[in-house]
Amino acid sequence: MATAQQAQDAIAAKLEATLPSGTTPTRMATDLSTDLQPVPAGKTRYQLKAWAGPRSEVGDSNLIYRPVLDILMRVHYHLGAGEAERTWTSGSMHSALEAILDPGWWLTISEVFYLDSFPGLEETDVSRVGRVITFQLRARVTVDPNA
Amino acid sequence: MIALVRGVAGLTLPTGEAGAERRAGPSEELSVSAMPHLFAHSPASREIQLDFRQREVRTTYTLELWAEATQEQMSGHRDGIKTAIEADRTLGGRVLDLHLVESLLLETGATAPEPRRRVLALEVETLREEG
Repeated sequence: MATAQQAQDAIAAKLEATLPSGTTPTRMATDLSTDLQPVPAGKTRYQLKAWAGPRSEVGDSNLIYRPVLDILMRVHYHLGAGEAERTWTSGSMHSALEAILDPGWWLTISEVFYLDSFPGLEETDVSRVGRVITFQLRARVTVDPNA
Repeated sequence: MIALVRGVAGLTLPTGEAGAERRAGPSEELSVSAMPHLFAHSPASREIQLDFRQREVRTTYTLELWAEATQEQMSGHRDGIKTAIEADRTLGGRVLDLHLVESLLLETGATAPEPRRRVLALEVETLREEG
């Protein structure tokens, strides 16, 4: 049975494959803190904040429930030297978001059984501190017990 | 910053260190030929930690413009310097922002005939990001 950890790892691997390879996307050592870990110029780092969500009922059964993961995916990009903000926001960031916001992106991950809420983000989920641009989105997935 | 002041319309500093120095100097020793004279000195920086180990660095500098000029002429120099700053807020891309924090016109030699020696003290601040 796929565990929450396995599901997270699979989502992380797919995210790394989706972000521009030239930016060497790497998961940060912590998923919760942003103050002490640098993001090198021209590189992406990401965090997956995940926690157990309310159990998902399978079909119309009131007997079978499956584990759910609430996920907050945060991607940080440090602008390269002389790089304009919009080069990232309207380029690689936009392409990555289009891919990740597609439910199919999630459902092709074998450890994900079902998408309980469509991934989404709002205006305040795109931000900038110094030269690091962050976008974050939320999703709720049911973990596939048979994966 | 010295180059920026040198470019102010109506303000002609003598060339080289005869007109501008990166230090606080003994203004009473300035000869008439060294007027107007600029001292740029006392940089002081404050750093604010940002996320991802970045830093926002704010540095203030003191500019002292000495001249034998009337109050009105000195005020004109102050306005000229402010206009020059607003025309080049990044110092040619060297900083993210530059702005005038404070200006103070001081009188010297109160009994001397006009135009007498005056000093315009300016505090300017630059903003940079590091990390």
